[in-house]
Formats: sequence, structure tokens, C-alpha cells
Amino acid sequence: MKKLECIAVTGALVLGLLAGCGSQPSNTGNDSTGTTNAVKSEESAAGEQEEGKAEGTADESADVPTIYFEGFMPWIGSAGKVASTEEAMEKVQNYVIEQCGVKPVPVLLPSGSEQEKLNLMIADAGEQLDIIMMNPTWESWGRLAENGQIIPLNDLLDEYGQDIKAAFSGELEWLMDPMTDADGNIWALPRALETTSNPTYIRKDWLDQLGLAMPTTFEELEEVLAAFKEADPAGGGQTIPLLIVTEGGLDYGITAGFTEYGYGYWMDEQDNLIKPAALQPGFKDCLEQVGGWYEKGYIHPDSFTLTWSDFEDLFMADRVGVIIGSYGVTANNLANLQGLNPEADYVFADGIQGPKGFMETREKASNSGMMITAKSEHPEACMKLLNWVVSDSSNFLTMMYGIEEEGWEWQDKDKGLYKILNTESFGGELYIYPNNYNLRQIGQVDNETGELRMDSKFMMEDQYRYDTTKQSFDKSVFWNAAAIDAINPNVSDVDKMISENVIKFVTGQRDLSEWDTFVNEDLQKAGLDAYMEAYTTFYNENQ
Amino acid sequence: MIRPPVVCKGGEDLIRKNLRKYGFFYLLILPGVLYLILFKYLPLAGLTIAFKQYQPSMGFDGIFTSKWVGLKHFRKFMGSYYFGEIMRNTLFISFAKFLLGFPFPILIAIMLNDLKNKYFKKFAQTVSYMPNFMSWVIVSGIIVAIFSTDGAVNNVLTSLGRPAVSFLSQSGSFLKIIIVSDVWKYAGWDSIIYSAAIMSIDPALYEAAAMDGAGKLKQIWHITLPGISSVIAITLILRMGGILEAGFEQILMLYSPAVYDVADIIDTYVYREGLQLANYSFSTAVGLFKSVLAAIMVLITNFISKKVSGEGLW
Repeated sequence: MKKLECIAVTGALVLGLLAGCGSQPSNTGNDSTGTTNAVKSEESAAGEQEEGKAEGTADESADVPTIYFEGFMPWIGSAGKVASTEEAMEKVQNYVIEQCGVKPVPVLLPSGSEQEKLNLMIADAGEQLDIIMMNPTWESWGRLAENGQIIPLNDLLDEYGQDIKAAFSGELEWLMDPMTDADGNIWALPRALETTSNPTYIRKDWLDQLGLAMPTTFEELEEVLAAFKEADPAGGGQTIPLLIVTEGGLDYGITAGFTEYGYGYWMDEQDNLIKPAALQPGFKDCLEQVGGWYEKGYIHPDSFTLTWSDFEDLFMADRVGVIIGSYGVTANNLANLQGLNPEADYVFADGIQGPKGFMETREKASNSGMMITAKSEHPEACMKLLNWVVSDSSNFLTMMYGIEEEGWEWQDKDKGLYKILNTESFGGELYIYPNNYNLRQIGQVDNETGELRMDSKFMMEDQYRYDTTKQSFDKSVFWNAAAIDAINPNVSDVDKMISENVIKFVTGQRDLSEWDTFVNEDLQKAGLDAYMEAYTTFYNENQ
Repeated sequence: MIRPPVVCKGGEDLIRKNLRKYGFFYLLILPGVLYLILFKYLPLAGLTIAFKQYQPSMGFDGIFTSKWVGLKHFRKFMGSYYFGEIMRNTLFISFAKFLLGFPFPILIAIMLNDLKNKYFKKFAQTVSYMPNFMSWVIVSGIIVAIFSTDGAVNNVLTSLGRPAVSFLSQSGSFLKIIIVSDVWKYAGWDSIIYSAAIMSIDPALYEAAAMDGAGKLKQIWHITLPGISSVIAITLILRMGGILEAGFEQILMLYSPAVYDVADIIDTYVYREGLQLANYSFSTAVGLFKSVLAAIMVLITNFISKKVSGEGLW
């Protein structure tokens, strides 16, 4: 009997092993370790997908194509906080069907391994996936186009994408260029505009308290920092006069004040070589200035080692006087801080200038884009859906917050101001085609005050302060890491050395008197010449 | 009694005879063997992408159909200016953790063994094992809470009128924190195997030694350590296999460009250069390089161990 039991258990184990190997991955990533909302939503999406396929489908029979798109749930923290109920999801889907004749179904990728899952889904012919978005650091459309995994969009745009074409015309028409190959084929739809995302915010109530004016130059900014340090408005020595949010805050938020082109690759007219930002004349002066602030104790000592949540914690601790770098720390958290301290107020310090002009560099538009897969059975429906989303801000909001008047409502449609009404039943999983163009048209107001929220104001206005920021030399060049790697596989050595040493110079771990040694000897050893040659070659070939 | 030699007509007969006789046992090991084949050996075919230009969007088929590029990825890794620094950091951190982390569990096991109060012994064991069950995310959070400029240590320093120190962005202090926290996390748990080995030593040996006038230290030196020497030798050899594992998660969560010069190890380099840029061929090539080095280390240690103590894995 025991022997029989052993055989049965062994057989079960073997079958389990083989079954495990033979199982097909689902295209909804149910092995996700993502957020609860995402997982729950994925499950419901999976259910829908299975239903749709098994039915043959009800929608198909009614001539309504179902489009599976890469969902963006992990990126929409401000939308729904719960997973959609089945009814709420169906209601929005039915609305979309009424409006554009397409049923959208999100495929939410497992948080933390989105890229791996997406790659598998693109490569697997058995998985239905129609619309994908590519983050430029993951993959470029070039490789997917080369592999025949996406389709050119020219004809579809002409026939079904008039609103998208209109949106990316005029001043924004150039955004189509990086999505287009040498033969004129458009492979992706642009998502990201040029933005000014590394501003300087100053604690207004502290300025008023100390009788200080808004600084307009580095000298005045230094006076403010010194005053904050001296007066210690947070009390108990807790004041942080200046918080620089990561290296990005230094790179994009400050260096432009000391350099001609701001942060980015630039061409040295003396030798016509493309060089890294740190080699620009004036960059050393910038390090001297910032290093001086660090030495005087104005800058939080851990500015270059902290994580995003650490920055938010410091901000919420009501200790920060000036904050330079990614806008989110301030814009997303000010309302919460004011809940704790109603007097706390940060204002946008626009247009502070250094010896070479404005201190902030705009972040380039990226070549991230929306694509339609070659295996899509309804490419025209994909374009119809994307076009419908872009055609009216109400549609964009519906995909994010649900049916108008139920999930959200306009406060002032002409100004693009809306209120959130209910996020309890619809979780925003249908959020599709996230792009600055749409986000720029709409702004969420505070339900109580009716005022535009600070984060929304940033997305609508402050993020496009083109008059008071500097545009980098390489503004229209989309550096392709894979192509540059093919020219010189070790370019990252130079990037690493610069990143590492810039922080050491600022924090005093390396004396600035060694700057020339760093540039002329250390960087040379790391392959600076080959690095510049690789970037120059790419630049010349792609201009 | 001398057994007559087994006479077989051929290998096939022997197999059949064995199967008939031990069939049930073969059946029992079948799941394990299948597991090894399916999940350990078959995936080895994926190593070929170390020599190919594989792109993730090619999917599974791409493993076999992607372009052969030979040693390109190995050349890239070894041709990097930072190859020397990364190897040095990896080996230094590994050996430092090894030098401190290898004897420490033995010490803990010996000390725990000699504790007389059984409640305190259980308490000490629980406390020392506990850090092993905390993920590096949590431990990193604790480290930051202690050593950041707003942390506990700096609070003490500033209250004494001393300036705050950014321990995590200075090379020297960063290394010490990395090494000590690793030892703290694993020492207790690693001591279990030695505790078990010590328990198996015949208590009569200690009684006899005590009667002969041997003190505690002498008993440890002449009875305990020789008694667990075979376990020490085997764990040493096994640990050498992981000598290039310098602690990816721990370092990734705590390092920053300011300490790259001492903290960037093979795994963090591969993470930045390979995985973040979806260059899986490159990652695989470096992984293979690491595995070959680790295998060589195991062989060398095994050889030395056999020569010195007569103990070895095979």
C-alpha cells in the first residue's frame, strides 16, 4: 500500500513538473508582483480576454474589435486608488465602444518586470497585444521595425488619425521626425514634449519671515541660502537650506547658469567634436559654486545618495528652504505638507540666472512612442482608438477617471479644469496613450477650493517655461544607445567616470584643483577620445 | 565470505537487471532527476546568447537564431577601463566579508554551545538568527536610518557639537558599513551548521579533558575545533564557490556614484550595463565569466583542502 502511495506521489510530482513546463504564459501577466490594484485589474482583464476569445466573440459578432493595449497603471498614481469593479469597467468600455467602435482592454504588466514581460508578449505570436508603448531605455522602434514586429503608421494616420496629425503639427510637427525612418515610414506616435522639469522652488513663507526678496541671480540665491542657514526657520538646526534632488537636479537644474548650452552633449567648434556636458567651459565654475555651498553646509550632505522617498520624507518634514530638481517632490507633496503646516508655501523661483544665463536646462523630448504590433488583427481599430483619445480631452479623462459626471466633471472646460468625483469604482486601468500633449490641456482642481492643484499647474504651465530656461545643443538629437554601443562598446566608462567624479568634486572628496588632471588624464585613460569619436560619428550620421 | 564476481552478458542486461531490482527507487528519484534536467541543465542552452547578439524582442527563438558574435561581449567587459576596478572591488568586498564572516559564525556557535542558561541560549540564538530573515530592503532601511546625515549616529555627533558625516557617500565608511552589516545579517544563521556539528561531539571527550586539567580555551582548541574541522572544510569550499558574489542587493540599495570607486562590483555593473539596457547577451557573458572563475576557485580550494586536511568535496 505504501509503495502504491509512493508511486502515486511520484507520478503527481512528475506530472506537475511537466505541466509546469508546458503551461503557456498568459498575456496579462498574472504572475505579477505588482500593486494590488494592478494585480486585481490584471485578473479581471485576463478574464475578459479569455471570455472574448472563447466567445468568438460577442463583440466580434457585433463588429466591435477588441484591442489589447499595454496598460500604464503603474504610472498613474494620481488616478484611481482601487481596482475597477466589473460593472464600472464594462460601463466605460461600452461608452468607448459607442464613441469610437472599439473595445479597449488593458494588459497591465507586472510591476518591476514590465520590460521582460512586454518583450515576451511581443515575441509570442500566441499572445494578443495590439498597442504598445516603448520607453526609450527599453527598446527603440528601429529594432522592432527591423524584426517586423510593428507596422508603419502612415496610411492608418491618413485614414483614421487626423486628430493625432493635427495635434503633432505646427510647432510640434518635428516630434514626428524621430519616429520616422529614412524612407518616410512613421513607426510610432510621439508621447513626450520638451519639458522644464527641474525647477527651483523656494519656501515663500520663510522668505517673507526673513524679509528676503525672491532671488534672481546665483549671488542672491546664495544670500537666501546663507540666511536660511543662519536663521534656522525649521528650528533645532533642522533647516536644510538647499536640497538638490539627485544628480539630475545638479545637471538640469543648475549647470546651465555657468555653461553656454546647459546640460547635454555639445559640439566644440574648435575641433567639431561632440563632447559630454562636463567638458563645457564653465562647468568647473559650476562645481566650484555648488561645492562651496556644500562646504558651507547649505546643501543637504546626502543629496546625491538619497532615494526618491527620502527626498519626499525630508520635504514633508518641513525642513527644506530651497529645492532644485525633479518637480514631483514639491508639486506632488505640497498639499500634504500644508495639511500639516498651513503656512508652508513654496513658490516657483523662475529664471534665476548665473554668469551664462538661466540656470535650468530643458529636458529633451524623448523618442518614446506608441506603436501598433504587426500581429494586431485590427490595426485600423487601434488607430481609431488612439485618435479618439487625442481628439478631445474629455475622452482622455474618461479613460483615466471613468464616465463624465460620474468619475469626474469639468469645472471649466475651456480652461481644461476638472474635478475628480469618484475613484471608488473605476481604477483608471483604461488610461491609454499618456502624453504631454494631452496632459498639457487638462488640470485637476482641488475639490474644496476650486483652485488648480500645484502638480496640475506644473503639468499645464510650469513644465513649459521655455522663455526662462536653456535648450541644450543636442535638443533634436535622439542618441541611440545601441547604435553608439556598436561604434564603441565602452562609452559608458566615460559617463561613469564623470558621474562619479562630479559628485566627488562637489562634496570635496576630490579637490577641484585636480579638475585638469581629471579631464586631461583620467578621462583620457577611460577612453574619452574614442567616446567623443563615437558620439560625433553618430551625430554626423543622424543629423 | 568472498562473493563471486557478477557475470553479465552485456551492459543492457545489467541495466535491465538493475531496473528490475531497484525500479521502485529509480522511480522515486525520477522527479528530482527531471527537475534537474528541466530547470538546471536544459536552460544551459541559453548560455549561448553570451556569444550572440540576442535582442529580447526576438523571444525564445532568438536564443537559437540570433547572430553569432563570438567573444564580443567578453571583450567589451574585459576591455572596459573599469574592468580592473570592478574585479578589485568584487574580490576585495568578497574576501573582506569572507575573512570576517567565515570565522564569526564558528565563534558564535562555540559561544552559544557553552551557554549554561538554556533560556538565555534560546534568546541569543533567536536574536542572532533573526537578521537572516530580513530582506536587504529592510536592512538597508535600518542602515540608512542609522548612518544617514539625519540618522542616529549623526544625531549623536551633532548633539556633541561635531559636524554631521555623510557615511554612505564616503568610500572608507561605506565599505565598513557594507562589510559589517553583511556579517551581522548572516553570522547567526550560518552558525547553525557549526552548532549542529558541535552537538555531535562526544561529551566524554570534554569530561576527560576537564579531568586532565584542560581549561575552556584548551577544550575548544583541542576538541571542539578538530571535531568540526570537516564541516569547516566543506563550508569553506562551498563558500569559495560564491566568492564572486559580493552582495548585489545590499550594494545596489546603498551605493551611489559617489562610492562607485569602491562599491561597483561585477553584479552592479552588469545590472547597469546589461539589464537596465536590456543587453541580455552581455549580462550572460559576464555571468558566464563569473561562473567559470567561481568553478576554478572551488577546484583550487578543494585541492588545497584535501592536501591540508584530507577533507574535500570529491
